[in-house]
Amino acid sequence: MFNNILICEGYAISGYEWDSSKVDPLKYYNANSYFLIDSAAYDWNYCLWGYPSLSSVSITNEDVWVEPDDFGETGWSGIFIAWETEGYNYLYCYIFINTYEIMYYSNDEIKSVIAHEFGHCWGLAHVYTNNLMNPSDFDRFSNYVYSPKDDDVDGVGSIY
Amino acid sequence: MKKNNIFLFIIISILILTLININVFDVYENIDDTKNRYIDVSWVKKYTSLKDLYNDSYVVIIGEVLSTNYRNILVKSNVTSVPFTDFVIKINSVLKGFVSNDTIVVSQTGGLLNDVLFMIRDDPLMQNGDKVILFLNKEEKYGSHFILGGPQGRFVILNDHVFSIGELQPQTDSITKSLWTKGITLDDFTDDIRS
Ligand SMILES: [Zn+2]
Repeated sequence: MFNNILICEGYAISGYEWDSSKVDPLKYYNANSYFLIDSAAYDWNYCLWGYPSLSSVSITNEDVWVEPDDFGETGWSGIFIAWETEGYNYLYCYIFINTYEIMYYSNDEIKSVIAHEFGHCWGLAHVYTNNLMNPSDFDRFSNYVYSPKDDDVDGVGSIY
Repeated sequence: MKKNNIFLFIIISILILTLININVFDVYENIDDTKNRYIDVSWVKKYTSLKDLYNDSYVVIIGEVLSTNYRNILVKSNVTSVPFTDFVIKINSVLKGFVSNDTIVVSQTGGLLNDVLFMIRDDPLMQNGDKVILFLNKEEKYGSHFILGGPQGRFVILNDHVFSIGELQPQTDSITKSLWTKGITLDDFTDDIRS
């Protein structure tokens, strides 16, 4: 049921993306005014500043919903759900942070989880290298990956 | 007369098989594949050996998926629900821990929401009839157990050989990679986790 993931050297593309007319900077609806959500979004926008192709367009506030909630011992700290899609275009996305699983995470670690989910929001898929899109919290934290790395940013730059 | 009986038998057999098929697959007939909805998660734990998985588990079982039940958890803001699926697993043997019944309920993230199936990309939902080895955490508030590390704590038995989820998926890389069993026998697998 899934399309094939295109894997490049340092990043992987899920195949999904926003219509190119509405992408930069990353905007979102922060359901609980959780400051680490703003912090993760700021990191992305700061990193993407250098991509002129991303300068004129924006995701509106209602397109991405981000909310911390308690889902119990699910094994995951963050979840990204592509809720509405039209072909391979996102229309609407949800990101939830599992407050149960991040109970003992530092602020940097929580920010890393949120920034990782924002990466999916751009259209990135998982990699198993020392980048933000590594799906293992353990791998990212033990390599101090809390914000987008060059490969993650290049991945977004290659999509839009 | 005999020929007629055989003919009737064949017709009835075909009818029964068709009905069984409809029952098995009707869940999927309602699913709109064209909408391509998927989930990606960030996994909390990473396991690099069967021994670590075993030590971290409350319960380890060998069993078979009997039935599937979809449920959804409404988020605090009420904007949507997150889909989960509860599986009733018939227990063939318990490798660790204590289970009082001959079945156990195991949950996975992903499921049916508004007739659309949502699945975690690297942790596809179990199917009825799957023969599995599951490394489970303690029972949680919904009365079910989650699988340790998502796809990492689930192994599938095919022809008496054990495979990790990543080995059965077309992707070349996976969070389960350090747990790939390369299809060892069930006996070797149980020896490995206890060694
Ligand atoms: Zn992810």
